[in-house]
Amino acid sequence: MEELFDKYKNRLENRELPEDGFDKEFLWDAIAGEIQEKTPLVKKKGNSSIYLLGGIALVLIGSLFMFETYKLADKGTYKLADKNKYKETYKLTNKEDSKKASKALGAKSRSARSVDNKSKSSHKIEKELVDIIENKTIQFNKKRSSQSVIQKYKPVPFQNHEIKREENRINTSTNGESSDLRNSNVIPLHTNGEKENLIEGINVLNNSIENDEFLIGKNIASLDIGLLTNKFEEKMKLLDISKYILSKETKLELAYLSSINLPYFQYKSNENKELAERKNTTESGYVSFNKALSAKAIIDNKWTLGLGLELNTINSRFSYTSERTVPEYKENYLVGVVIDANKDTVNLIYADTLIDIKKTRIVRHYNSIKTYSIPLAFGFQKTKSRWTYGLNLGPVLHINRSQSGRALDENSEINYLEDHTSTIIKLTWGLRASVYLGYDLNHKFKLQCKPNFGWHNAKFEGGAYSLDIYQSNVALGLVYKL
Amino acid sequence: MNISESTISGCIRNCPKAQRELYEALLPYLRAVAQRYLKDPSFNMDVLQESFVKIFNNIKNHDSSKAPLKNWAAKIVINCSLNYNKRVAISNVEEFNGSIHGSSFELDEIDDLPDEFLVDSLKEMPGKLYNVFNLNIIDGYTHKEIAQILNINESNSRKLLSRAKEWLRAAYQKNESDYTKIRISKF
Repeated sequence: MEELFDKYKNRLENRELPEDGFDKEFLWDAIAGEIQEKTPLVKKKGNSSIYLLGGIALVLIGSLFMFETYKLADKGTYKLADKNKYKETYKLTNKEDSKKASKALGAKSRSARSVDNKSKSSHKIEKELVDIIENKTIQFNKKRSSQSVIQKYKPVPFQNHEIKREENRINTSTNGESSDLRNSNVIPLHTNGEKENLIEGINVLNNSIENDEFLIGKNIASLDIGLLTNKFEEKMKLLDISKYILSKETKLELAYLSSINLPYFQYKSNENKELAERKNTTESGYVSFNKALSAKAIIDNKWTLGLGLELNTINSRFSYTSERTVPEYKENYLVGVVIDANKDTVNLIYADTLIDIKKTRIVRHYNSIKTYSIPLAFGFQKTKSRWTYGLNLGPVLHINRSQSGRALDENSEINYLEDHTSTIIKLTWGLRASVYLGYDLNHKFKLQCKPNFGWHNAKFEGGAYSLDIYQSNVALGLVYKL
Repeated sequence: MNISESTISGCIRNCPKAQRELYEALLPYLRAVAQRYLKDPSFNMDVLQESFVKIFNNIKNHDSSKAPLKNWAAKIVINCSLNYNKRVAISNVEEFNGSIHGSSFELDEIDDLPDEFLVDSLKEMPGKLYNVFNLNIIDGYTHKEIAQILNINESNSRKLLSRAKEWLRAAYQKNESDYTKIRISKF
């Protein structure tokens, strides 16, 4: 009898049903719509979260680096925020001199609040300071030449110095014996803010000095001293002008940005406008996440030239209405009406029957186009304190990597998008404009927020129509200053 | 049925092309499984849709060392069909009382009978017997697995299987060949 069960098993175990009119396309549409609704672009979400985590990690590392640098800065005698000032100043190496100068300035600071007291007390202070200066100068001249001092302290070149530090500067470009003062740690002192001689050979150039509160930092030694003479300028210029331009005037930045992208699709076709319209109504942009690496040269602190490499994903949603006729069993369904004219009666006939019911549903597919993009950006930027803002404009070269999903084909039939990974890589191009705002975390790292708006001419599907993709995105990331 | 590794990995990556390939490969078999287990054939589409969605969403969890993909997919369809069967209000709940219902035929005739007839004849078994018979004899599940699927005891599963076999033996032994011929003529 076991043979009976074996026969059943053999016949039914691996049985497959033939197609016999089964509507497998309809079933597939329903399945595909449901799985893509439930799990849209699972892989991309995973990737984007990795990139987002990467971005957060970079920001954290940058912040850590920033705090470490501040820690070091606290131990020293300068502020990182005033890095330029630090570069432009000379320190008093002799602590005694610093104390004396500090004392003098302290005294002056108290006295300077009165407008009339510039005669006695300030002259006294000036005298003290001049003594310090002269002593220091003598010691300094004994030890080294002015050239070696310059090399050691690497003062900021003249042009920048003159532009940025005019307020606190003392001109030492004077005649006679005071010219050596440029090498000493002179503390400029003047209370009335007017351009007049403090001592012979030292002039305050700018009227903006109103009192002595231009002192920065804890250490009086970080006061600015001019050291700018014409001779010195000439020497410096002769040293290496080209090197100076390259190293100081042109800065390089590397940036990693992760962005959230929302595209808008616009199909165009001269041959088949109806198809283009149908595609415009069935396809719409959908959120995606991109990531970009870029390098930017900043010339003369104003003009920018950037080049980048981006992994772009452009997502869209394809929706269409699906209809099918389903037989449905109805009990006591009205199947007929019999009107008897002779008897003047109407008989309704009810029966259990199968009726065809038309069911409609909206099916959605999530498509994606992947490109490598190489943007070239020209721009202008401005810096104010720690903030940097600017704008960019330039062409973008797109290398189409692949596309996936479903959409209407050239015959207005729902079909799979052709995957370009196995075919010729296609180049398309676009334009992009962006504005950005950056915040310096420290002198190496900067946080950047960069909203972009771009246009991309993408010809993907055989050239029967073209696709204009207008993308707007907001990028956030970290910039490393080389 | 050929399912390549690349198809499976494509489905794990949620690639529509690979999903379509898997769908094409599995559909004929899974349709037959659903047909065997479903009491109401009008739910066939719904069961298949729900099952395929589950297959695609969970294919990354499938362990090929434990069971081939085909069997894993069949189990999903079976579970889904049994759930749908619960939703169907069966008015004529049959309790096995030792008598024979429906068709019977000779052993030699089985080879000539169409598959649909075999399925239909088995469906005349009381529901619980039929499920256990299907799961154990046709699909090769152990009593432990059957107990989990049907939420019954293992001993209960064994009992139901022996009764199902008894039912079928009785149907076979009754030898109502005329009735069998009538049924055959329908196909």
